[in-house]
Amino acid sequence: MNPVFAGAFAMPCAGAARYLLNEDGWRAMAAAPGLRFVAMWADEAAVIALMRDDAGALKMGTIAVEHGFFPGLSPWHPEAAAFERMIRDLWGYNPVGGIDGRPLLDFGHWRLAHPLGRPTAPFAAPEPATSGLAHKGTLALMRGKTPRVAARFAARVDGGATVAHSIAFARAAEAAARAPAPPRAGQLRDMMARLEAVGGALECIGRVAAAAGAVVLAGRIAVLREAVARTASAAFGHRLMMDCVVPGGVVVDVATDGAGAMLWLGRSMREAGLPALVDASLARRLRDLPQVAARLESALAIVATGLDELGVLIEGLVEGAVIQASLPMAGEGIGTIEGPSGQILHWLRLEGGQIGGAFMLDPGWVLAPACATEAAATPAADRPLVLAAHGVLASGMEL
Amino acid sequence: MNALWQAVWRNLIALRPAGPGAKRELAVLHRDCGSCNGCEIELRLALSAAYDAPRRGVGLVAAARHADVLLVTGPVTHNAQAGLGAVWDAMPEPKLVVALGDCAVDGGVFRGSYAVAGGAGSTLPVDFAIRGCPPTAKQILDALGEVTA
Repeated sequence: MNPVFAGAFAMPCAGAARYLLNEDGWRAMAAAPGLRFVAMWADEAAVIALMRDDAGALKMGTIAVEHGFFPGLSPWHPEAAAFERMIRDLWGYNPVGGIDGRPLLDFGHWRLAHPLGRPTAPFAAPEPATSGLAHKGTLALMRGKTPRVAARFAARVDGGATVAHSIAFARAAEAAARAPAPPRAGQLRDMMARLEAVGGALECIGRVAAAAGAVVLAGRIAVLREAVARTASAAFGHRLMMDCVVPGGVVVDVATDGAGAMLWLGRSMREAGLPALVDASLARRLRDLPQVAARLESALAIVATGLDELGVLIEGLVEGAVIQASLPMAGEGIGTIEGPSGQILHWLRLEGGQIGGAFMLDPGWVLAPACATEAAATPAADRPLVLAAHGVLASGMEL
Repeated sequence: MNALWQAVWRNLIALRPAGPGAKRELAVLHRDCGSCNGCEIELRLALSAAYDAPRRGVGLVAAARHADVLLVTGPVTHNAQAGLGAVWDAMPEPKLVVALGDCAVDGGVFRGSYAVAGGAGSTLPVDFAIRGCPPTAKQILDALGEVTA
């Protein structure tokens, strides 16, 4: 145990311990060399920081918000600045000592200020929004709904990672209830996640091909992406598999001919000889862009391994229920998954069977600054390729 | 040519319009007003080689002044509303608005949120609505085909 948390009261949260800290403890956590900042968000009159220790375990620190203020973490962890801006815009809690005072999501266009804290009428004169265009008020919409209903919002954070977000959300709810989904549901979720990852990897390659002017390759990739969407539709009834995963399990079992469709996709994709096509079209254009080339390599690897794993999953599919009827009533939990573009994490707190508080950590929080840094270090003519390779989506982090 | 390409090729032929292709062209300007990217995934497929979109007379443009149709995705967040109006004003007459996906039709699951105006109709006169969450690539092309008809 990291000495920062020794002696601190631990709130019951499945997946990661949540320690109640006083101001000294909070600052000690911020300064501790063995803890890396992952994310922060707020709940009722409290701010929660998610850290990762040297062993890779997730730890949460919580501090009470007093008179609307809490000690900011950005002086120690600059990457916390964007989260502090989000917390100020949505909850109205001010980070003392925060290094960035600009708004992130609230540009005075909403009918109220601090929608997740104690809402007040907006007072600032609207200025043109420069970011926050994708802010839909998702967290507020999830509050007061049952996990099953709230899952529809988790599924609409990032359409390209709808399965991954739905699984992370479901896992958080199941962790809170200490009731995992049935084994067959877990396997079906894995299948959907593999299909989604393959689709996402193809889109990444397709975006780079289009940005590089490799139109024939871009066309071929689109055909393959379409084949993945049709396979998903044949197997699970929806081309993006949206709303297929819910807390407690999955709402659709694989169709009778679904396994055959997925195996056919794997065979055909191997025969298509994607790595050779990509190499022939893009190798010369990416000679001076090793990071972009590396991203394409990993996308190709995801296509290959994802389809192999799909075959193994189909082989090992067990019989049984795909959903459990009982739903969690109270508790707190965290659920994670490696999504198509990075790690996704959902936290939720249940009250009387409904969502009391929720937060979702999209890879966009990490990818957006990384992409901006890489693009700035790249010659202007090559920048579209860098942006295409990252494919950062605003909706994921703007909530 | 392997099985996948063959299957897709047969499909392309089935999708082709009879004769030399669409009679009219449609220059489409796409504006994302808070979409989750689901509609964009289907739209990109609809406009890709997988559906032979150029032969159907549908193409994307980057500038408002070249557009016949404003294709709106997302529930139209308040933060995006002003920008959407500015784009519409910059388009030459005659012009049409197409709402793509449940969010753009009426706000979808995000209807009622403090951050959401509630669909393209909150800001612009909508001429065509394409329902679905998201609508499939084929539904998008069929609907745009109705616009050109």
